[in-house]
Amino acid sequence: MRCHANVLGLGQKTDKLRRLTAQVRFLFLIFAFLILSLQGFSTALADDLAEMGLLGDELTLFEDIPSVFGASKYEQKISEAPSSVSIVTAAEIKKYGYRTLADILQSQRSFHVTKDRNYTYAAVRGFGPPGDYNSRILILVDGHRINDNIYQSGSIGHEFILDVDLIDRVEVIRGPSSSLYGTGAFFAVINLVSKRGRDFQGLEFSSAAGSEEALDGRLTYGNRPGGDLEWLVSGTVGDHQGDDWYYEEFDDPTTNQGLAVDLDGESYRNIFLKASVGDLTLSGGYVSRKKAYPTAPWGTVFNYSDSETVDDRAYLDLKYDRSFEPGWNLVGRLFYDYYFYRGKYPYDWADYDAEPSADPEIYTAQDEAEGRWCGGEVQLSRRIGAHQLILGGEYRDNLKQDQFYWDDEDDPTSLALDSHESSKVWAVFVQDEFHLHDNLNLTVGIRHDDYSNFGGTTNPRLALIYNPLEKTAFKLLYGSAFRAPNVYEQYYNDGGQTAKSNPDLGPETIRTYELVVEQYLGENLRAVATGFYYEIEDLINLRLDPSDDLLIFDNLDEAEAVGLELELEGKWESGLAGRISYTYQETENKLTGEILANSPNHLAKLNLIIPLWRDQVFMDIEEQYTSSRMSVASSDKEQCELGGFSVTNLTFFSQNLIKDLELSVSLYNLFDKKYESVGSAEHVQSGIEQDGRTFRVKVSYLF
Amino acid sequence: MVGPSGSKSVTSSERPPLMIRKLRILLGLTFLLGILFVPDVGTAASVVTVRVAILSSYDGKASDDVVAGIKQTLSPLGSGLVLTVYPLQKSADKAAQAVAGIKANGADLVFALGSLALESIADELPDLPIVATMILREEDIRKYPQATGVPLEFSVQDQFKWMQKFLPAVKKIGVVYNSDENQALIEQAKLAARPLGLSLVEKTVADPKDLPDALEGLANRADVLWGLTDRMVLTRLTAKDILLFSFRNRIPFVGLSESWVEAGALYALDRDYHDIGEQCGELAMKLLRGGSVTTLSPQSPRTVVYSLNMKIARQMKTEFAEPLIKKAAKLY
Repeated sequence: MRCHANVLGLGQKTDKLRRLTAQVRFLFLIFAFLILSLQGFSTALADDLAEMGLLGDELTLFEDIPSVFGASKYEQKISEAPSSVSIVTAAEIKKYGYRTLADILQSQRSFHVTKDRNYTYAAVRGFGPPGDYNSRILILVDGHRINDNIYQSGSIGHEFILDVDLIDRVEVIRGPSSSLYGTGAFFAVINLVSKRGRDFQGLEFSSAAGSEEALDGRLTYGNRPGGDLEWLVSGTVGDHQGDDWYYEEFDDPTTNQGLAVDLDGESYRNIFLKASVGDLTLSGGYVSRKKAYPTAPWGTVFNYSDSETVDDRAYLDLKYDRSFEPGWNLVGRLFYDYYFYRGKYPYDWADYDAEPSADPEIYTAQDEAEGRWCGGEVQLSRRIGAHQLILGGEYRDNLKQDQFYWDDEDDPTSLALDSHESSKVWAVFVQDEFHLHDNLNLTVGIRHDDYSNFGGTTNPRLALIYNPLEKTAFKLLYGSAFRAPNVYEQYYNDGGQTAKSNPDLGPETIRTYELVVEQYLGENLRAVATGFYYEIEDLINLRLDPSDDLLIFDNLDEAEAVGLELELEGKWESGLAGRISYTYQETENKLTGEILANSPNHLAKLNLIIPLWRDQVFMDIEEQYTSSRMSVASSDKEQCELGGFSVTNLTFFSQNLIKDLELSVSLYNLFDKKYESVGSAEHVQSGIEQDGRTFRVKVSYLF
Repeated sequence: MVGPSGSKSVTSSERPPLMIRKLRILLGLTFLLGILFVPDVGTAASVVTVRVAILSSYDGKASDDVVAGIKQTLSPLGSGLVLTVYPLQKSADKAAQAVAGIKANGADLVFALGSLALESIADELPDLPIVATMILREEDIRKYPQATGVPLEFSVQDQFKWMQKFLPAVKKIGVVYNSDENQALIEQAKLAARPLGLSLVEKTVADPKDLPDALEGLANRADVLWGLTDRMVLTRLTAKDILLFSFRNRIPFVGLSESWVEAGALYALDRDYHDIGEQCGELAMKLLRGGSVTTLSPQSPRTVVYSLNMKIARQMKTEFAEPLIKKAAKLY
């Protein structure tokens, strides 16, 4: 870690104009090539089809049919989507030994994940403001919004509502999608499709044990007895002791020489249910997680046993999905959601006395938030000629958006924050996928959201998708998105001691430009190259109001990013599969010219599944490289450059050696690499050390 | 009367001369042989040349097997058979050349393997008897009055009975089709399903791009997806959509042939193409012996074979009865 006193001197001013001009020229040249070649390719295709017309129906019996096994499971969806999309399947989740959604995202191109030993954060394409609780990434489970209505946080650790074993697939959609999803679909949308009763057809038991006294257990029952009825219910519990952590920033005899003992533990439990009868699906989940934190953020007492946070999240969702002849499809949804957070923060009041005493006066402050919201969505789609139309609307009533803060958890009169808010949001959207030509599609979408607390915002999306050949896709994408200010940013204050509220906050906005080229190479390989340029305005950040010396959130910053992603993915019928990707990204605060914190220039990933014996035993390797990143600068912390690192994970996975038994052994950070995540503004540490080599043994059996 | 030789002569009313008797015996034998052997072209072929052409739309094992079956059945024609095989390789140009060749050289009968072959020859030579196969539907053969043959499609009843053998728990059969092409067949299928305790969950598509939505509409409703020959729905281009839907939703797909099973269908009924060749050869022999196309209706394939995909069965959490596995023509 290299730290610098001269923070501003670290910023790398770039010649934006030259860069932009080059980008525009590049895009123009590629697009001109595509248009010029359009006619030739389409003629060839028409000839083929004419020849096929001469042949009879029997052709389908004698042709070689492309195998489902040699292909990526969802490739059609990927190449036709008006975004840069990746899919992670349940099989990959098992084979790579992923434990959380964070592990899954860390393996994806242009993503990197940081952990502050309390929460886990995903950064995309260079944007990962430390401590933003993933509020700029929208997380959906079966289309249901998971981000809460207080912090808009999208949890990806064990506080996430769905056990990864219940994920059928993860759709990672890069870029903004507010034109369909509204707030939070800012940098990416992560849509998880959960498993169904038919995926189990019985009772499954799973248990895992690993380093740092980590124990997890899951029991799932799912069935589809036939006809329209199908159901699944699952419960998971986990308890992780964690490790003791040393922080040199606290290396002092009064703070246990910088060693935080027994403050990394985590326990969680969750349940999930899903039941379908015909067109109706009722799903819901509940998760509760308690996590101790060893890092002493927010100026709390170091190595104090009462340092913990609790997150609860629950929802119920009733979905109606019906196709009507001819070609109409209606999706309706009603939902009710719940979120609760409690943080315990021990403070030594002696530190704040006019004359600090040697004897500590420790009181545990308590932060609490509770959110409840309900609403509905409706979406109608229909193909009319060359147009695939989607019309929809959404209404969300934030019934409760309450925040509390007690200076002393044991003293009810110490209540310093007692904020009770509620708000309403409605939105309408329309999207048209227009088939301009056999191999040229234009997608135009727009959504208007109206918030009762800050007004309206309208966000469009344009996507031109050109398939000059069956296995080639070019996508030219433009989109804008917004993130509404959350109630924490708007209303959090501590009674005027250090911070005050700002109900006038406006939304953050982003405009993005992307060119995606996807090319299938033979039957087994798929290559993707993406160039992107982002412009963000009105980023919300803390500032000190000189009029009263109180901290206040405001729409302060502007930022931009440019980057290139390259990925080659392969899958063969033998079971051999792999993916290699490289991302170059460059971000900049437009006001200061500085590189954004936690924004590495280079990311590289390698994933490899090697079948060792039939389709029953596999060795799975991951290599993840993250280049150096800048830490967060604050009034009491200078900005540092945290060194790059490469982490190797290795998993051996077997299935059906004994019928319906799965066994895996995983080694994470195989070479025990020491590396750090960027700490947030609330941390004294610039970098927070991550786990060394750990292991996990997991067994699942389907009765 | 006694002649100069002293031999006893008889009058014509008593006994005919020896020469006459020899002639009569010869004629009688000839008549007898005629009765016994004239319809058998095999013997006649020793003196009569029979010209037969085979137009094969496709290359590949199925076509090769049909041709081999035909040749085997026609082999009694011996050296009198002049058999010419025209591989069309899915080319309209080659079909035109083949027709020109037949016109130039003449033919007593043509085997048309595939729609391209049938349509090419039937319009050009309307009086030439045709035995057609490797064509799906009977009506596609019947539309040509000079044609008979062995269409490939199994009856809906047979398909559903086999489905119940492979998937006894199935009650709701999902099917996606283009109504312009298959509405009549779907009506037949509904009638066939009811007595078997089955019902159809149908989705129609008017454009291939509607297929993903139509399939999704079956995800929570159908126990199985029935593969129906349909130019819009089941093609090489849509195969992956259908197979991935089946794989992802654990709804087994009943394929159309072995190649569909290899690609990811759970099972498919298939044909013994050599036997189909023999069936066609037998029809041809009847025609060559003077039979009429009008009295020889198209026949269904007489042998059913099937292939199973055990990997897909595991994915679908389905188990086949052991005898079914043993009798499968091919296991994937």
